[in-house]
Amino acid sequence: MATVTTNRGAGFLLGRLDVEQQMTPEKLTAEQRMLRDTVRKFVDAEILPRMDELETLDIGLARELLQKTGELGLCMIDVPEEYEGLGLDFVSSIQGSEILSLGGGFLTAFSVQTGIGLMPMLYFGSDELKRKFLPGMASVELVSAYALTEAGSGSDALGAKTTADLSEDGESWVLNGTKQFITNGGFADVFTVFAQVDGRQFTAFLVERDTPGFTVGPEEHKLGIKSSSTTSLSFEDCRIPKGNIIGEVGQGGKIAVNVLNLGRLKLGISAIGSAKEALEVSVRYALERKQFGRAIAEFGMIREKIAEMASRIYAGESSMLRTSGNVQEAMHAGDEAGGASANSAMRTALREFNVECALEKVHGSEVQAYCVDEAIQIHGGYGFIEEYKVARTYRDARISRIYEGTNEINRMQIAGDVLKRAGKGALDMDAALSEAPGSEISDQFGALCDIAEQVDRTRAVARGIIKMIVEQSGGEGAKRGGDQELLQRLADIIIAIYALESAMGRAVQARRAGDTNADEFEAMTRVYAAGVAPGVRRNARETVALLTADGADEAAASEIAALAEPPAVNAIALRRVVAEAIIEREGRWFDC
Amino acid sequence: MKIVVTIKQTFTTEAKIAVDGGAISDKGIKQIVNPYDEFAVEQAIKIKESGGAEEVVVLTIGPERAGEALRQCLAMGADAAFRVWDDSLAAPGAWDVYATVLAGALEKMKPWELLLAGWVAVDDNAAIVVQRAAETLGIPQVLVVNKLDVGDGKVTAVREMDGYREVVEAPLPALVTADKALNTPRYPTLPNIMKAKRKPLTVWTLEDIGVTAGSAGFTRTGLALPPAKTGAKIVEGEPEEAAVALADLLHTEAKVI
Repeated sequence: MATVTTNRGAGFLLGRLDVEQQMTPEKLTAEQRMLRDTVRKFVDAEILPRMDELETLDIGLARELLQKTGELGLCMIDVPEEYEGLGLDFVSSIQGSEILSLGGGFLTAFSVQTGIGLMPMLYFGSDELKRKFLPGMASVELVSAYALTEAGSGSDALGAKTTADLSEDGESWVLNGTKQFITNGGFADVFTVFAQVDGRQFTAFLVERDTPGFTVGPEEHKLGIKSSSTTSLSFEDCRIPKGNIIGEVGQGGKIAVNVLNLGRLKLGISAIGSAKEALEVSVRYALERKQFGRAIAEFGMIREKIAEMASRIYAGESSMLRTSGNVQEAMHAGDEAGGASANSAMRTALREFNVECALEKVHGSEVQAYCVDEAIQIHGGYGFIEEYKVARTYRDARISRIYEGTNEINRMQIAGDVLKRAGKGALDMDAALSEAPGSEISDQFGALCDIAEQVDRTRAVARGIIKMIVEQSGGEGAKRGGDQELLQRLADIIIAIYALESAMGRAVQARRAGDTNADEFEAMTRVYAAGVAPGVRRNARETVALLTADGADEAAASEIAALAEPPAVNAIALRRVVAEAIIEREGRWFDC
Repeated sequence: MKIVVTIKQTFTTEAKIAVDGGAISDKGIKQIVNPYDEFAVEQAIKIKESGGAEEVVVLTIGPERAGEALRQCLAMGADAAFRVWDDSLAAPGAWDVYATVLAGALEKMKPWELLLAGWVAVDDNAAIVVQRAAETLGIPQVLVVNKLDVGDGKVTAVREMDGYREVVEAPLPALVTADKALNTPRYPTLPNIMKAKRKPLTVWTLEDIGVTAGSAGFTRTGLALPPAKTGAKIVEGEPEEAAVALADLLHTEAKVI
């Protein structure tokens, strides 16, 4: 099984990871680490002390703090220097997204400002529009928002009803319709609004707040992220300049999908940041809280939760950095191309990694969900009391599995896109199952050769299933797109492969570099591997059961089932080792 | 006017300290600029920003990783940085040796008018190195300062004492060490972090500064964590009864009275 190059989306399904080129948190530059420190100091000094005010939705304060992130330069990272940004690398731009997660709902405002609020303009706007608006968006003199969702179209985003028609004199676009659940709505200055031209050509526009005919609705009362502004928007014969179109007529769907890709990756990263906080708070509590005369951190069930939280965070963090490094490399290639082709190469880079971005969103938000849930459980009754910070962390986490595409939609994208690529021959699955998983694994994986073999086997399971589906649908992988249950199971297997391989690759690199955390990285990789194996087995068996009932080859099916059998490991002992390490450092194990 | 700030890279105050083989383990330990030194750096930059100085230079003794602490000071606004290192300096606690080296480097960096530093480093709590160097250089020193004015060739500093306040004047050049009420250190903005990459950071060997370190006048013979705290006892009840119970415990259990 050949090693793959990184600049191919979904390439991890074709062959083994080239460990050395995998980006890891340990490879951050001195500047990136300093940036993390700056953001952390900002959170501690400016956001956390004012959390109560922010939670009552003090819009003036939210705007003021968002503008302070602008002064720190956090919103100009992705903006090129010619538009008064810093034009830095993508890995730098994710640092703020992770650490601001400690600020709860404030993160949401920031994420829109630097993510979906900015990117349509950045990657698709005309030079004229960019000169007019990008410098302000980068410095946060202009707060931005992204208006896609409507009452009747959430996941089905392209089914939006808002319309845009060219005025009779041909000088303006006239917008009519209503948008819903728009983050930053209460105080944004510029809005990227999606509307149908001629009733069917989905298109993006830039609308300024003070435009006549444009009104902002009241604030929604939400379950969590209460410090973020969420409103409806309405357009009644709202007239905007003809030049305020972003991209071209009919390009809206492409814009919406592409910018959501990076938004999803950043959301996954933020979710891991929030999970780290949940772990740290929980371990500290468990060390203080005494029951039966002992700190509850001494009890096996609590320790097992701590080990599981840490290992999932470790795997999530490893995979986020791997994807970010790959996206950065592809973007850099785009930069090299220069000029107009740079933008198109950039857009290609965004599209190329849509499988990875979607899986980071799903995995990150589910690691977060697990961690904030166990954080409450470790706190017991106190976790249910608002006075303790975990209650807010728990409420704030719930939206992660819903926005930027529900995890259901994202799972459809992961599996659907892989099947589409395989159907077109872009992902060659023919070699699937022909090579024995685990063959020719040398010392490249150090002490983790058995994990490398488990990754191989799981990859062979996914490839086998993909091949079966493609064959069954006559080469058109997308045809089984209607089988959502099948796509969900395939997506989960794919996520397990990617996250486990990333965890492993990071541990292998740490060992080679003599990193003092290498022992713990290896232990957490093993815990994570033990944790995902039963799910892979169940998903594989249920999938091939459906496929064979529909006529797939039974011999191939039983081969897949055999490959999906979990390796025998002493998972309890592994978790004890990890728990000990995390508790030893009082939960401050991951940098955040 | 040129201001020199001496800084030290230390572990974070939140770090969980472990002793391994007679030294503090660096496993999982994050290194930062000594927090008191940050006050000194901030003060120097403020003086420069208000027109009271033309140049702010930071100086440290430390291995390569200490360069990151210097970069942070450059990102805060210092203009140039110097790092002195020789592997012979790795011996723990050799404060007298460090003072000699620091004095040598400060001699080489002349002319400067004001020397700033944190009043103590949070790792070894020694508060001795820069003070000894100032003594070697023969300049006045005003220590643990909460307010500082510089002008007319002198410093005017306020020191908070127990129950009163002392105002001290000293002619320049002088050493002033910072306490935490002096200011609130800024955190570097991203544009400044990127600019700091291009600012000069010079590395000196002992030869470069013309110093022979010599050997320390003392040796550290042991390093141990403080004993784990044993359970405290809270005496409850009405004040009068509690006082009696407490006296009793101090006599019979703790055996101190």
